[in-house]
Amino acid sequence: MNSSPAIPLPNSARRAPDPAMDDVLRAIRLRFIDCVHGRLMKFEDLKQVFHTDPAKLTPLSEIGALSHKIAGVAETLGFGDIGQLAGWIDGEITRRARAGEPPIAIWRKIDSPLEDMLEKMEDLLDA
Amino acid sequence: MRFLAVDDDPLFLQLLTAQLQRLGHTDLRTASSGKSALLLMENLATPFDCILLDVQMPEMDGIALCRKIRALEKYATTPIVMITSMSDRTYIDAAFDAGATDYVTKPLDRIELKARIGMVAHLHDAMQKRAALVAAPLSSYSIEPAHDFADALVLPTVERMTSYLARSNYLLTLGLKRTYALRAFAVQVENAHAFYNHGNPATFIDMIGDVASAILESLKTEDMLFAYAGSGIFVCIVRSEMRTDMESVSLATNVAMAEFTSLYDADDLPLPNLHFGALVRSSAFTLTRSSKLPEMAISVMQSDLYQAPAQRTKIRAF
Repeated sequence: MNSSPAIPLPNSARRAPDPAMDDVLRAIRLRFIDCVHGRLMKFEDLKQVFHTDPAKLTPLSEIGALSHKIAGVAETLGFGDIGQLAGWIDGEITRRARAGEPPIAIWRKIDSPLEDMLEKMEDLLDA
Repeated sequence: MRFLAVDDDPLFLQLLTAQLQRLGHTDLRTASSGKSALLLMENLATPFDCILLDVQMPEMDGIALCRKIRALEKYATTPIVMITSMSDRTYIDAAFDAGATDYVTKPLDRIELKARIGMVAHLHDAMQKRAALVAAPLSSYSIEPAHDFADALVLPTVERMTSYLARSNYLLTLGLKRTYALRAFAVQVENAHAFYNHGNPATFIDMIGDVASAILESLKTEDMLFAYAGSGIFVCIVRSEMRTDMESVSLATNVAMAEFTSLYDADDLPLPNLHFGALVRSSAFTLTRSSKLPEMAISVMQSDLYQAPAQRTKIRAF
């Protein structure tokens, strides 16, 4: 991964100019991008596992946990759309699983937003 | 201030470290699991001043970890700030019950983090003041008490009792629907000033501890949390319909208090004289915000207290 300092920082990190801190945040942002490929692979694996047995909740819970991690940092690092989708997916899986909804019903709700998020993550690799 | 942050996501820990550094807090250690955090805390001679815990972690989650930390004597009153995402909001009650002081939300917002850490710094200063009070030689107490009469105190050894600040933070998290389920009442130690003026802060703190134990004893079957607000006033928050009426609560507390009579007699001190305020609750008509409930309970109790004894109302549902 190219660690070019040309990557802009999110607006929230620019509230007060602080070049040293900007460098730190930029480095974390690059590390986030470095993780994207591995995470995409993980999501694809979990989708496959789910489709082999759509009655099992475990792969969905893992998709939720992975989304939870992304949601925790993405927005602060300037990837607002990815962060919001990840937070929504995490929240829906948690809430619906807690309500006892069948995994397939949960999947139908998250399928499309999950694809959107994965697409946006792929775009990061192409940028 | 010395911070410990616990999260299983290294990227989040890096981000949090950077944000805290930006706020001027550079003394930060991190741990990636509850187990490693506990190990670190056990092996350090000087305890951390503030602990930040992620809620969702594998094996031991943030709430279980918070409970374990609170059980450690040296961390009984240390501010613990939970880091929660929107999907964790249902865990907030459990976090406050486990002893959390406050929470911040993920993704981190620099302004929110600054406000929360500012609050923690303020609490830390107050605790340092109290620690100095406990460590000071007894003779110095009589000259100048190290805390003000109006100061809220935290007594970590009393079950279900947390800091007034933590209680306020908890109330702020509640939605409208849950607010309506809350009831609150205040208890005034009418002769608290006499204990404060006694000259030995330990006497005052012991008295507050005794009253807290007596209140807890009388309300042990209720889903109740309480805090000492300062100036001899306790505020109790009941999270469901009260199974006991206030007159019975007042009677049971005074009975529990009477068990301390011989101790107070031995020290030539009066028994704390307790005045119970009426039960108050939020309602759709008054539109009382949950965060205002303690103030409302105190105000109702005080308006009754300052009347001549003959004019005081009997304790009743408000």
